[in-house]
Amino acid sequence: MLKPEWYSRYKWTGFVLFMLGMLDLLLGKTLVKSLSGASPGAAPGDGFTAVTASTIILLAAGIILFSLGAWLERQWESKTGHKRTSPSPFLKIWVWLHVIIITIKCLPSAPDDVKGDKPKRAAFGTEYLLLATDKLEPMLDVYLWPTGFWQDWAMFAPNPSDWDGYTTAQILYKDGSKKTYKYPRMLDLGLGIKYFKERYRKFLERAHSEKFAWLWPQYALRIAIESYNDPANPPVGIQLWRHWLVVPPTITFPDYLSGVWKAVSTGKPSMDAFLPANPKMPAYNHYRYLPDPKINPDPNAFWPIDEKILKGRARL
Amino acid sequence: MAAKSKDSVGLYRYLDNWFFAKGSPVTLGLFRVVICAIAFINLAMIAIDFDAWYSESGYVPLDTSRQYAPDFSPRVGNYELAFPIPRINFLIGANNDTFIAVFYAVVMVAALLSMVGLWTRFSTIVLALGMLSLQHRNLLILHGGDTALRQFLLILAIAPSGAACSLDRFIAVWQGRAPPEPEPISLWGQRLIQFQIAILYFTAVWWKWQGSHWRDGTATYYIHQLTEFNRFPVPQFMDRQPFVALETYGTLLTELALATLVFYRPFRKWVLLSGLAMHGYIEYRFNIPMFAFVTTSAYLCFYDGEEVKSWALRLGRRFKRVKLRVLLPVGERLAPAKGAAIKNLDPLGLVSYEKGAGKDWEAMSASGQPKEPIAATWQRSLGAWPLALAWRTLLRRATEQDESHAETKTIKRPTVASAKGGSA
Repeated sequence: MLKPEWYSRYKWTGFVLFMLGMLDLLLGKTLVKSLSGASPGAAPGDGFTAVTASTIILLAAGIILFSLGAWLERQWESKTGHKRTSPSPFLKIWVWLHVIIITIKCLPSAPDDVKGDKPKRAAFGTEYLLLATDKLEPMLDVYLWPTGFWQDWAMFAPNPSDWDGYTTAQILYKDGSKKTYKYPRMLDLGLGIKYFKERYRKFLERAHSEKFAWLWPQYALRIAIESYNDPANPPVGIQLWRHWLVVPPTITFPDYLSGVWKAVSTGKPSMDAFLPANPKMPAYNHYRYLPDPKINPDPNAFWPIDEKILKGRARL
Repeated sequence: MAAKSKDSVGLYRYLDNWFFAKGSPVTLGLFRVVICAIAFINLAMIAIDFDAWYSESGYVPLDTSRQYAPDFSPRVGNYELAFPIPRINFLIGANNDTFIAVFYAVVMVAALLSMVGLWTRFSTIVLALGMLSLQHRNLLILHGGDTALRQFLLILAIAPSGAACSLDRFIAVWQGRAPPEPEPISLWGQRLIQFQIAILYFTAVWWKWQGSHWRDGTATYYIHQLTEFNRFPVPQFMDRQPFVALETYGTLLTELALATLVFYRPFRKWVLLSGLAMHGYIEYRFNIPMFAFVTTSAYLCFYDGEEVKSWALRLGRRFKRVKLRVLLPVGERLAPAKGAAIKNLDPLGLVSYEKGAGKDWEAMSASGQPKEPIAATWQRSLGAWPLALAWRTLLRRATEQDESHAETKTIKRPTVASAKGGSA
């Protein structure tokens, strides 16, 4: 039977190989590119193949050796009745690395005006730290992205949204009739049910925006599926409508304080000064975003629904 | 120079001790119970709209999911990887609704098993990886609460979270394989959750401080105006200055305290109470499901297991009225290991088992009122709740003949029919 120190050596060797493999995975191709002097965009084929092969070998060897060491150690422990008194050094390394990685990942990005090749102003104080962590952050995704430890906590930050809105759809049926579909809107739902349906709001937060225009056809298809109740009269076209308002700004706290001071110092205290009213909310704007009016300005234009796909996916 | 390096070694030792020193596993166990219950409720809530979120006829079929976040990533940031790496996702390529529904059900069962602590290591791993897969399958509906939940479940799957407050432990004590008091464990799992909470709040404050509305004291005004978030009403003046500024700056201060002062024991209780108040207000005012429950449940981890245990006993002492005296049948006593396992299920210390003089099991409330022993002991032993169906059998098997009581020859086992009157 091997001695305990040998199991430890297996594990340490496996660990080192695995870490080298991770470095190779992340930096190998970049390194090969810079060493081969290849022009930007060019891919030195043989070098890249070597990187892929060496990464796989290092990672596989690391995992196998580490697992072998751990397994042999278990066997030895169960035979001798030896009990571990302190956490494994590998666990400690992981915990420390994890703590450092999530800290760097969660820190906010540096402000836009200090970033880039030509920053608008010089960074100061902690902004230097944020500039450095911004550079490190993408590398950390090699650990965070696959494992699910990815995170960020910019909740209602840096500024809460001032966009309040909902969406509807106009559905055109085969027989020429039209119907309005209202995507679940939290404001209209009952107190209990809106707690269960909040995911619709979260989805819409992304689904309505121009950034997610690629999502709109699928969004339209789902609405068509939900509106497909009669096999003889399926939806054939759809229009997606966005209804929104932008919340107007209210009085800031410094302005409020100076207003109160002014009212008190001039001897004219009033309710308006101490509890100022908020601006009136504007009316909702309405905009058809599918089909895109820039491409098809016809107000009667509908986004076509593929009947075959609709019938394939819908369950009547 | 030498002094400096000595200090840094001292700091490392301090942090190393903070992270890895041994302590009671009760807090981590209790946190597992709470967070897995939340995970189950969360899954049940989404299951109502399973068709919309996880089926091929929904808003996010496989192709859409892949378009948003590919299963394999060939690069991270500006770095081209040696080969594309996958996300942990057991639903990669799954476009069969039945398969996904079965998978979803398995994750829900794993949440229940993790909550009660049965096959804890296995069930927490299944739950963590299952939740991860479901979240990776549809990233478009996730909010901060889901992210926090995922972090906690992953940590619980790696840490020895079944060492207390679990059926696994109950079985081990029952069979005499484990001592009545849970053995100390390295607290790194609990510490990691504390750190996760602290980093959550700390970076949230930092992010917010970069925004002009948080600085000028108007941020919460905007959130109040977003009608889609509305839940319960509040008086209108709460949406005006200076109350808006009070809420805005109050949020920043509370979050900052939850990241820093919470680690200073004299302030801990007050900081956590202010955190509860803040999340309570958010939960009341805004429709953001489960977020408050997920984050505030992790506050438990700021208390050591010994503190949680003694807090439970103190709480139990306050409920004098519901205390119960159980008298065993004459000639019987609780077997040492099994009795310890049964007593462990009563964290509030509401039930005391004593030798009796009667032929049957008897139970009496603090006021001397007779109670039905099976139901009354089960109700008061919080840890016994998952064992409802087996409780009668367990109690029956937990006793043995008391050899010191030589005259006793016949042993009566507890039955509802033989119990003396009264209601639980």
